[in-house]
Amino acid sequence: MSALQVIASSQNSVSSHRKLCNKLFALRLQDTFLQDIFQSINIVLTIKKGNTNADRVLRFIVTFINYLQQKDPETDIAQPVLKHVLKGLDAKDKTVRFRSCQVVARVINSVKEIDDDIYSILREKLLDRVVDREAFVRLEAVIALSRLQEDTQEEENDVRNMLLFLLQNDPSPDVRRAVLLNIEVSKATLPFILERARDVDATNRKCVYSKVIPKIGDFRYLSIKKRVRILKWGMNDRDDSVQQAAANMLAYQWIESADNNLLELLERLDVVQNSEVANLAIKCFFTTRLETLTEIEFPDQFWLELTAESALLARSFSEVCAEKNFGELAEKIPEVSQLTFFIEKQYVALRDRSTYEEASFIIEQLLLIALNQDMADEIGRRKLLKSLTNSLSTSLLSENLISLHVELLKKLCSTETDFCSLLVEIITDMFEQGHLDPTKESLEEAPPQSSQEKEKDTASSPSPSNMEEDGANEETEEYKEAFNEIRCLSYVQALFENISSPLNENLYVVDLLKSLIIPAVKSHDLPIREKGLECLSLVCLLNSDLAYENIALYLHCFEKGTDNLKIIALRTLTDIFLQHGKERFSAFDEQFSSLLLESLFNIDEPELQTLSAEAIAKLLVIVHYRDEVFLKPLIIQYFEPNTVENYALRQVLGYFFPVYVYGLPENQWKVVEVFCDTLLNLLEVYRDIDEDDLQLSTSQIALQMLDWTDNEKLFEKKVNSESSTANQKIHLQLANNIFESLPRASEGKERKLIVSLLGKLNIPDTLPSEDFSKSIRKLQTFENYGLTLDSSSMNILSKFDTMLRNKEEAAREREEQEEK
Amino acid sequence: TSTSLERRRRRETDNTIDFTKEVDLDSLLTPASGSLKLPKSHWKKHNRCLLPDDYQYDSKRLLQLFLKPKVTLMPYVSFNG
Repeated sequence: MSALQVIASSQNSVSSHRKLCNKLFALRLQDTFLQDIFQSINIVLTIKKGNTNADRVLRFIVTFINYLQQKDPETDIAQPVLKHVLKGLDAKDKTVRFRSCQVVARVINSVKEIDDDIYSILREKLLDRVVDREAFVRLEAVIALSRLQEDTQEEENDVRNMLLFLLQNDPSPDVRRAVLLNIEVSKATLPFILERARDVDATNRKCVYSKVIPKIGDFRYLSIKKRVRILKWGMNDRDDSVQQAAANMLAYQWIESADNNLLELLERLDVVQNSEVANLAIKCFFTTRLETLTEIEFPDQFWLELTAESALLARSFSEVCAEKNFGELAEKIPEVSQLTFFIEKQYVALRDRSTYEEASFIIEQLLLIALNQDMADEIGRRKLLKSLTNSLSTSLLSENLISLHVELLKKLCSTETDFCSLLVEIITDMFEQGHLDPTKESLEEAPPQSSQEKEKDTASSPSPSNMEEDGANEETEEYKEAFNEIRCLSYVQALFENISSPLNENLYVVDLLKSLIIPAVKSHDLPIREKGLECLSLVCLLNSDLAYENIALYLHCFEKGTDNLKIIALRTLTDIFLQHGKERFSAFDEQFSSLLLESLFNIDEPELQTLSAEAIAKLLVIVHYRDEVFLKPLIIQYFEPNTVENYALRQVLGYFFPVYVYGLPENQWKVVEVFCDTLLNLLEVYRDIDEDDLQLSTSQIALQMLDWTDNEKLFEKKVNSESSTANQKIHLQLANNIFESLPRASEGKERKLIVSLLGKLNIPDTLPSEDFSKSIRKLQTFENYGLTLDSSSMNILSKFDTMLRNKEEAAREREEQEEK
Repeated sequence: TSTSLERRRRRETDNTIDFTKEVDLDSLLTPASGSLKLPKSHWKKHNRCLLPDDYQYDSKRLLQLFLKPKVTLMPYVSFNG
């Protein structure tokens, strides 16, 4: 048996490889041995990708090379093989290039020493191959080239730089993945590797979590910023498999590096700065390893010695139990009375500058836990109510804490009136004290614990950020007064966010409006005016008369105001229309609409642009506000090349359109009405843009718009099969619109595109014959214009005509049958 | 069926490599005359093949008031559609 024959027989099964190795080894001294090996490789070079036999032969050759090195280190065939395929690396034939790269990739690890000449030729050739025109060649070349990585600190590292280039720019996700899996992890490459957690390809993202990060080992090698980013991306990924891979990484690997201790893990995430990501991560951890929910215990000592980390852990636990309805497990959280006791302990820490920040954070977590608790226990409920009231009157709370306190109070009060009177009393006291006695306060002074002592409180204490400064005394009276006013307004705002009963039923609220809100709106101090306007907006949502009176004010704010005021005004006006209905305010339609459109087209203010897109989306979906005015501009801005970088706008609209068009049959008709006009407009916008710079072609846009008119996709149809007749005529109407628009489309490409849509319409046979006749007449009219069309468009039109006539005839026959 | 079996068998025989055939090395290794590189315009120039930031827009956000996010409004539905 010759060496070639032995190799040939390795193609059928891997299980024989061991035996064949021995056979081949015995032949190694034959004259033709090396020749035979080369010959077998030459043959493999001709075999196309995807042939499993060729893969087995290559595998056998590598196995043999390693075997030979062990048994007879003197005989080296690795380097000769490598040298042999060098020429194949830039062959004309793509299969030869592919197989040559594959041989190099597999053999090179077995080469012990390599001639400098061969090495540099190989390196040059592989650097060319990784940018080969064929993706499958690039993929093998990347694997081969990655074997040549040298661990140097130098900036000038051709191989590494090339691999990093491919990682970011190769159009094939498989090639990027090959780099991701083979590039050495180092300080220089790490940022590029981690970035792949947002690769457009889900498999690549998953790879980062399931393969690459575990390779790094201890997650503490990553900076806190990187850890948080990786977790945030993974936990929020839209692809379940990526999310699962991220959860597994956290729940099985990272936790091990943190000594299997959740608190230790949290200490590595800087929870005060990153509470939302940390909460999400811990919740993911619990749901991935449900047994840990049962195992975890919260003894009294835990609550007495709370830290930022442990408080967040308890909150995540409580949220998981609430979301998953684990009632029994939720009993591990103390009852309201006890919880109140622990909260009060933190209020004490709030008084000390050195513990203020952490105590604030802990209180936030505890209040979030309390929001999930059942308030059936009357004694506990009262205790907590008293404690929260007291804290609102005496402690310096961040905006976030104020709104949590107020939200929880709302839950504790039995009626909205009780809630209002309670808060109005707190606010009135605070306001009066701020004005009566603005100088009398000291941070170190313990705030009184009972409400009776409230008089000598710290209502006008400096803000938390000012606590860093020693000279609290240096502040001017004016500043303190302004601060007190803003603080009062924050309370007012929180109050109004939590009530919904109409204004006229609530006398307390009218009082606040007169004494606090209106003066603030008139203030010369911008922050106070802004806060005042925000409060007034909320009051307007409770009373449509008040809203009507103030619309002019908000329109004015938009025209003349700062960016921030513009945003407040736009939000307020939108909410007023949403809350009270559009009919009441029709007198302002023109002004309001032009404000929305002006913002929608303002490319210099992307944030405002997004906000107006979102506002219009809400108005269209919720109250059908002037669809005929907004639909076309909205579609245009969605596809307009100059909004391509405004991801927020694209995402808001990307969510809106399906909800709108498939949500209600009549909305599809509205799209059909503006369809041709909008498309013609977009074609004009795209006319002068280089195709290479575009992410979407005009035909893709047209197809997307056509998809929005597909009546098969109506939600109603999916839920209820009886409504199968909804919008049946819609594409026939669209065809009519297309005929009418043809003369307006510019000749050539654009007209061709519009005609091509006719071939994609779905027109059911079941329509009345009269509908078909009407369309036929329409089509004739436009044919009579003598439009210039290319032959394939003519073809589509005549086919369409025939189709209409056939359907017309069939419908007529059917109708005659029915009459009989 | 026999056809699918036949097809499978044909695929199997297709894979068998004949190691006795002659290979014309020169023509096999003929270097390409033109460039083998992927043209510049094919490389992804935009956004490094990364997804944009996800603003997590959803139905909840679409249907809530701007100023009172806790309030969700239901779309107004007319029944003459």
